Amino acid sequence: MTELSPNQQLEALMDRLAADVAPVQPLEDRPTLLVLAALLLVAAVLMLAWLGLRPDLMAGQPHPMFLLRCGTLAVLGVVSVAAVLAQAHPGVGRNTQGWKVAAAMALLFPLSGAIMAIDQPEHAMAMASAASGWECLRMSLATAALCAVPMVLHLRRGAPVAPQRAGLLVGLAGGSLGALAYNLYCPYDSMVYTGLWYGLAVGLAALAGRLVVPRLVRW
Amino acid sequence: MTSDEATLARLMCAAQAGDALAYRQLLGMAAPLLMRWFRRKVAPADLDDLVQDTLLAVHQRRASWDPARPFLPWLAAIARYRWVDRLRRARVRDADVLFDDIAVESGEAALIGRLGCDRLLALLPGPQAAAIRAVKIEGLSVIEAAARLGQSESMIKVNVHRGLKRMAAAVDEDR
Repeated sequence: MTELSPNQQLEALMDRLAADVAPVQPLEDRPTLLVLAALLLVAAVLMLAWLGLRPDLMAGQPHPMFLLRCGTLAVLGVVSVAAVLAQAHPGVGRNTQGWKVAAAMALLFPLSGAIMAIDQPEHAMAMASAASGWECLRMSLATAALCAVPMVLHLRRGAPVAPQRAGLLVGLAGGSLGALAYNLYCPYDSMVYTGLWYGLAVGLAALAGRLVVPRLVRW
Repeated sequence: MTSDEATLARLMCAAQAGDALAYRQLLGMAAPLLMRWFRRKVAPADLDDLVQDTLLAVHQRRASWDPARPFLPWLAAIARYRWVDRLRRARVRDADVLFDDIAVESGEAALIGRLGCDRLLALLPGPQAAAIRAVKIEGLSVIEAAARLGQSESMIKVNVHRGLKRMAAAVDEDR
């Protein structure tokens, strides 16, 4: 049997690929977004059914800390989800840095919490040992894991060319959305509590995403 | 037919719809672009493999191209990903046969420029980029690279490792 030259091999490969080509639906972001929104809604409803709504929300007078946390986590979540979806459609020059700005803004909470903890060590100790802190962590991370599923599936259908960054973003997005859902119940308004437990929830989710997701989406 | 952005994007659109003829045309245009781009970036023995590998990646991931966006940056990202992956797996090789570069025709220069890895290397700190060029692209041994660049051998290894890691994370960046 005659061995093909490299050029003939290349031509043969292109012929074979062309012969095999089947119609494909360009990967769309909208279905993933809808599934993600539905999962987040279900998680939030289940959490509220189990734990209940914050008292100030029941009274229709939301505390400023609740509003600040909502806004920050929602912005971080939305920007990170958009960055995750963009990772599935690679393109030189498409790498956007918006999520870094949102993450830097969100870091104000742990930073402010740390400064206040230095000023009020007793309060800080009480917040650090609050039993509901672990609940915050568990609930947020469980919701983050749920939210990560459609994002990972989306990335697996796409072509992420920076798997480690994609993993970090999946974790950041999931963690933000998970903490956002828990925030609807969380009765604490302390800056120290928010900086510590919410910061841990988002940070751990981002770390887990960075460590676990790349091996699921590498191709 | 020229391999300009509009033509390639039109062919890829047709390829996504299952048009084998358009797809074959597209692959026929992409292959020489990739060949020219990769020519100075890997050893000649790896060139054909890398082009074939990239075309296979294009085939497998063609659904990830969004018809609302330009085609060439997508192709460049896929090609860079495959190239960086190849560099990470590459062993030191013969330096003498690497620089058989063929002059790029003026009409295609801009297209190939867009695929270029030089900007990707430019994102790295100088010592890392120099170590990668010397060891992974020119094929020098670690000892030779250390002597030429004035870095210790362990520093060369560290710079290659860190540089490739950084490049892998910056495949879709363009400055």
